[in-house]
Amino acid sequence: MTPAIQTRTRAIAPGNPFGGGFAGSLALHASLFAVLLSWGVLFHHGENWGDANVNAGAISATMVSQIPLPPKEFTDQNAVLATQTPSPAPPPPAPKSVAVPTPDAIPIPVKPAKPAKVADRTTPPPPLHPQPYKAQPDKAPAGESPAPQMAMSTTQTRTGTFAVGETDATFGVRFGYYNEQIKRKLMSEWYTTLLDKQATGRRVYIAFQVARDGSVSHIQIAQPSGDATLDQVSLNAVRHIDTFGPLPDAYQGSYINVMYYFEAP
Amino acid sequence: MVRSTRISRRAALTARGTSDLFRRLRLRVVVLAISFALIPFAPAQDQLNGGINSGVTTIRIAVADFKPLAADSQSAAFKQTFDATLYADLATSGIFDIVSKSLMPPGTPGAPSDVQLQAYSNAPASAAFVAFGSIGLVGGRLVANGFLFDAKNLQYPQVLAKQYSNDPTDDNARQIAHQFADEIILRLGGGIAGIAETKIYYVKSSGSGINVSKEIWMMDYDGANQHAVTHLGTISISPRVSPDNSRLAFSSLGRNGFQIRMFSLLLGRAVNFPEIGGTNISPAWSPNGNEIAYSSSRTGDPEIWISDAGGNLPRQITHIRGPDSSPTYNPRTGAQIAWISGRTGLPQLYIMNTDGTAIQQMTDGGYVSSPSWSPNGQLIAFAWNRKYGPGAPGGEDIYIMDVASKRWVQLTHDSGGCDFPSWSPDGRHIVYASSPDGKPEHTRIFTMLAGDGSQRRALTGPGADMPNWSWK
Repeated sequence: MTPAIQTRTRAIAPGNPFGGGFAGSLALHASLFAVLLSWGVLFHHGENWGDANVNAGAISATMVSQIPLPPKEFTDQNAVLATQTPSPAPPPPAPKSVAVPTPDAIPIPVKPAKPAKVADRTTPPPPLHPQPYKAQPDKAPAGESPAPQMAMSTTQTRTGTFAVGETDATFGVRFGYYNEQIKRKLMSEWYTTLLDKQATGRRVYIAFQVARDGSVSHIQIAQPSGDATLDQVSLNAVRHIDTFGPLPDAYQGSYINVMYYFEAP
Repeated sequence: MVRSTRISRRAALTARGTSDLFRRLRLRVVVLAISFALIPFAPAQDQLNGGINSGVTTIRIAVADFKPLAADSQSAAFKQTFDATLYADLATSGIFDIVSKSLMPPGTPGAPSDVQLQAYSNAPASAAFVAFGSIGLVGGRLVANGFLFDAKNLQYPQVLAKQYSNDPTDDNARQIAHQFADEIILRLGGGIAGIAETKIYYVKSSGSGINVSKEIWMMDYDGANQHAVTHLGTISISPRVSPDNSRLAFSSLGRNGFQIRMFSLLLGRAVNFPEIGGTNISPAWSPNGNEIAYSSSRTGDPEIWISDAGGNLPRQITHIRGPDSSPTYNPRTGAQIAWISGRTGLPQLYIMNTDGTAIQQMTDGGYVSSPSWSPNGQLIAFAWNRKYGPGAPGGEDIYIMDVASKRWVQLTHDSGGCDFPSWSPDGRHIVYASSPDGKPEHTRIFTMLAGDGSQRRALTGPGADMPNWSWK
């Protein structure tokens, strides 16, 4: 049987349990403060800052009424650069007489007066509705640029007519297989399902450059067909091509200019 | 008569007739709804095939037998190998329509002065291009002169004139044929390099039952020169060669379970790759060769991790509960990963960015496995069992999905279970493993055209699996 453990608890006295200790602490600190003050007063040695004592402080200063100058040094007459009889200084030069120029000596340039610009007619008001499309005539009237004239190799398929030609006509003669390859790749990128009905019969010319490694750049519409869908589908066909294959080894130039037209059936 | 029809029409509008009318209408609505619901499953053949060049017209090319330069028997043997290899390379390239041997005009032209282009461009050959030349032993070296002529351009016919010279071995005769075929394909195939010099890495099983061991083997793209790469004597699976053909990553069963191993093809031995806990499988290289993505279950749940090529600094990419494995990078951008995840149940195909954001689910049914992203970045090939489940008949077939539109096309039909597709670097061929009767020990490696699944050829005998086509 375990013995019972007796616990004794000391009851906490009512009231402030810390009052006695706090008062004692206050008294102790007050007495310490008083001791220190009295020590300072009683055993004051009298050394203050800024005393009139000459030796009190790190730097001492003496008051004077006049600053002593260093003695005058006389020059030696036998020195090399001094002389007994210095030559007289030359007289100052006579003032030059400056002629005062007349007010008309230099003519002031006068700007020629430009006539004020006057519009010969006012700008016309903008149209209220988009203008209807004017069909382009088959024959080019005088002054208009004609369709690009160059040798092209054409292929007619059920989706339309493709034609490819280069500005350098000898390229097409010499490397016909490369032309065929360009045409074949463009035909495979063609999506006729995206064309409008009114695109039939129209022809769009696209010009681009093929670099040495076959990559395409400088894609432009050389002559638009008038139908936006045909133009865009033709442009996308060229844009989607990564490379046409390296240019023929026997060709010396670094790029070729290609013109490509597509005619919707 | 008229009266009776009028009465019957009135009857249709009465209360009893109205319910009849509604029933018929409801039937029509139901039929319409069903037909609308079936539309997503109709395979979208036309627009997808436009992007896989099956709509491109093929080029008709005549491949003549090469003329022997010397008369000895060794030259004849090399010439035979060369002719067969060149013919096979051009026939399986996917862009040529080869003139069959029976339609070829007689004679073997060896030099530009010998060839009669009119004979080739006329019927029955009707060829657009002619490949010819001569090969033989000259001065102790195997020398081959190859020409490619444009049969339609009689004024300037020459497209290619190449001379090759190498040591006189059969292997070199094959390599010269591969190089010449690659050059022809580059010139006439629109700038995409030929694949005749690429390799395929695969898993070869040997032994059976408890003694089965799987090693990594490699072969030429046409199945020639099959030989072993690893000799570990254990199970090694999912080989993936690095983009610069210098290293081979694979997963191997070792002391600590399945770990990723790295083999240097230049040094001919294994190099260090840290081993970490869990099952680490299906490595994949990023196109710049600096990172490897793989599936690791070191956290308890298989997730996709990416580390650098030495295996250091691994970081976890996926964080959702559910098995994630078989990652593959987008080879065009290197910024996306396609992988298989079972977070919703059966494994499905997902894609995400390489930092784990923008997760997109691509399939929504069946059992998907082994994705492979095409070199132009537009298509993903994968194995799919769309009718997976007990009692549901249906095999696993190779499918191609367009990433942008999520439309898919089925490439293999009724040829047994097909799995592990891998794209060729020109994007025109897919190599895969197939078992005609479903038994895993009868699995062979096949190759086919990606455009329409045609031109299926077996490259190996039984026991080969999990092929991986090299990047170049």
